[in-house]
Amino acid sequence: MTGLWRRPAVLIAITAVLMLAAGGAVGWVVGTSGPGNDSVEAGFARDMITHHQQAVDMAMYEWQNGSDETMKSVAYDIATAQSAEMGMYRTWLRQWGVQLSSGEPMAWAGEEHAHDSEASGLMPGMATDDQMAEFKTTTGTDADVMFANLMIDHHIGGVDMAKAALDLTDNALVADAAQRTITVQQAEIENLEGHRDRILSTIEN
Amino acid sequence: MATKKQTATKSAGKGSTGKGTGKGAAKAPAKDADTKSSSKSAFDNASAKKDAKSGPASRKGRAVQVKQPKPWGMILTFSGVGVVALGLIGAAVFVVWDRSQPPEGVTDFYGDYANYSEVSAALSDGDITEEDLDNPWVVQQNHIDADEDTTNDTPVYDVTPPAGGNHLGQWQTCTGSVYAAAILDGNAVHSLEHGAVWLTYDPALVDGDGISDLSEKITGRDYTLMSPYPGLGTAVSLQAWGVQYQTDDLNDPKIDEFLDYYIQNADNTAEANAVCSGGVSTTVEDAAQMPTG
Repeated sequence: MTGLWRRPAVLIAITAVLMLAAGGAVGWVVGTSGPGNDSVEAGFARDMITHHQQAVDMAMYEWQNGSDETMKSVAYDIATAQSAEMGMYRTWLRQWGVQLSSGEPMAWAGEEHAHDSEASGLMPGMATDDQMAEFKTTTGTDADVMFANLMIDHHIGGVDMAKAALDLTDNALVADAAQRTITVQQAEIENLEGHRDRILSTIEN
Repeated sequence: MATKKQTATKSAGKGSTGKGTGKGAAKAPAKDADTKSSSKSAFDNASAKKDAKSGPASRKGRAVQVKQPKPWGMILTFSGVGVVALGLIGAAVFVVWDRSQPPEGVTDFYGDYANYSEVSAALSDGDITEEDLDNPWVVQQNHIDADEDTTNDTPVYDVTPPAGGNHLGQWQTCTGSVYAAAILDGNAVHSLEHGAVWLTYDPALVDGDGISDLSEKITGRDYTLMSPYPGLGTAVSLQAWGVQYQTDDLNDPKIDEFLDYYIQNADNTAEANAVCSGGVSTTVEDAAQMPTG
């Protein structure tokens, strides 16, 4: 062993291999990990899953029980698109190796938002259990209109959440998704309002 | 001296490095302390080895070695770098390993396998068959009501409350749903398949305050459901697919850990991406009143 200290070439080689391995190990950790469990990114992804889940639930009901074909198409669009997005958010969370669920919704968005959700126990824009129960007694045009109203509120809340995430994150993947949510849902709010008013005016006439 | 000469020749002949540095040192003795010492050390080392073998002559070798102090600077530098490198490797292994550890004290029914994903991979690779498993029900996911015979529509489970196995075609709604009355095992197990955690409590052991404390953990938390389980025998039993945790302490922090870890767990979900909404809210009592075919 003493001989080793007198052979710089061998020493340097061993050290180089060790340092490469250490660099590789650090890279491995960084490469296989993403935002942490308590990060804005993970919190946003988790809460969007829960938020989308209710939108899908509403849209599936409208698809089955509404009467206006266009409103039903909007519902179909929301149910399928948001289901796909939920899969995307889950994939992020799994790749980051973090929990898929948290007992503290909206905690990632800071005091103000967390407080909102504490007051009602719900995230921004989400319908209460009573509202959902009432919606699920409606059919036909009543369902179309109530669906539009609930979904408009739901989307307004969703846009708020996405804006909060956009303010707080540096993660390109998350910022991109948040921006997409804002763009898509803002457009959908206008469409929902337009179709709702069209349906209401048809009833009146 | 003859021994030494011989060794020197040998060592110089061994590699061109020894020869080259030797030459350089001879030409410019005061040029570089490092070059000198390294060339000399190669020489001394070889002779020391030879001397140790040849017995009496070893004294000479030692005398030369004393003049060469150990290169402490180099030893410390390289040791330091080595320790840091090994430390980083160790830390990386730990971090990646620790990320995937379930909470302690959970009973799992996967036998030699860590989770659902590993068992199903082993099965599909043909390494094992269902009969090789301690609890084959961890991979049994059929709807027992999927036939014309309606007399055998009550699944029987090995574990109480059940933590997986064949189940009913409809799942129990598990969008953070708190049920005041007992629900059908077969519906709840279907919820577990969807990645939910089912919290059950013994109504004889948990009072009203306890129930409201527990329901606070569940209400509104997607992929969870809670129901009384008469005759359970422990205060609380938590189930996810293939795993269970039981405790008599309502303030046991493991309850939250279990929820955090197992809800929609990536490696432990028998049907990924399935939802908790759109299920049934049937209680045991409702089911008893239903007309049977």
